Amino acid sequence: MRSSKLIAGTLLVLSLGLTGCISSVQPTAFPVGDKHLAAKPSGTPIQLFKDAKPTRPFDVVAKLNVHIEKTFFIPSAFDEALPKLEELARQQGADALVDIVEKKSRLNETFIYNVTATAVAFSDAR
Amino acid sequence: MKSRLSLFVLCAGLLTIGLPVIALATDAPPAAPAKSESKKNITIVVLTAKPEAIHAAALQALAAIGCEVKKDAPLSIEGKRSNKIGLAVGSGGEKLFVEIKNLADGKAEVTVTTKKTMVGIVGQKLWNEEVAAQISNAVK
Repeated sequence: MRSSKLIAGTLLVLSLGLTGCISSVQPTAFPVGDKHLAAKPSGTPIQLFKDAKPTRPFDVVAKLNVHIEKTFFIPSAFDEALPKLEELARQQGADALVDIVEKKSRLNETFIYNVTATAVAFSDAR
Repeated sequence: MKSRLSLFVLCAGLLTIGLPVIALATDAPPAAPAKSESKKNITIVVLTAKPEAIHAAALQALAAIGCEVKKDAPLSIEGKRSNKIGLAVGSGGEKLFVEIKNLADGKAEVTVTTKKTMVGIVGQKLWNEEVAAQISNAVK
């Protein structure tokens, strides 16, 4: 009886160790151009332009991507990805995010959420 | 009785993550990208673009499917999707390889290969067509 529990426990640990967690969040930034702006302090507001472009002149500084996957049929949404996008934008010295594109898909029990955005810096602010 | 049941459940769980198919998959990268387009895990496209542009597009395409880049060279990229435990099959664990071959006339041949790995193979998917399509669209 005791050995069965030991085997069961070992198998459980083994399966968990082999398969990892139930979710993954992967934020990635791809800098554009040769100019690298200084990162902005944490908490600096980042403007969002979901359906329109900024009226102020701007330069593209990076392409951003946040990829979220969750198993157990758990969905993800933009609100979850937004802090990661903003963090990436600050790291790239950006002021705003434009061209925000969301993609949702499903693979068996895994819900996949991917959002891309273009990080821009206002050229009249520098 | 209960412990036997839990053992059975755990064994079934391990079966779903693909342990019995060790012989079908290895973690080794492909020795040489196959030229046969009939292989479902390999997509080959010829693009009119510079290798640098294709490389940049490939990195973005891999990120868009949740691939973490493990090896990055100017003409080849290797990425892996992280394993996730699930209710039945989980997901992730696939390895993606992008090979760029410079051709004449400003063209380049791009070979995208998906390699399923033994852990979680049941919940894995072939991503090569999707990645190749994203690279193609990005460099148009």
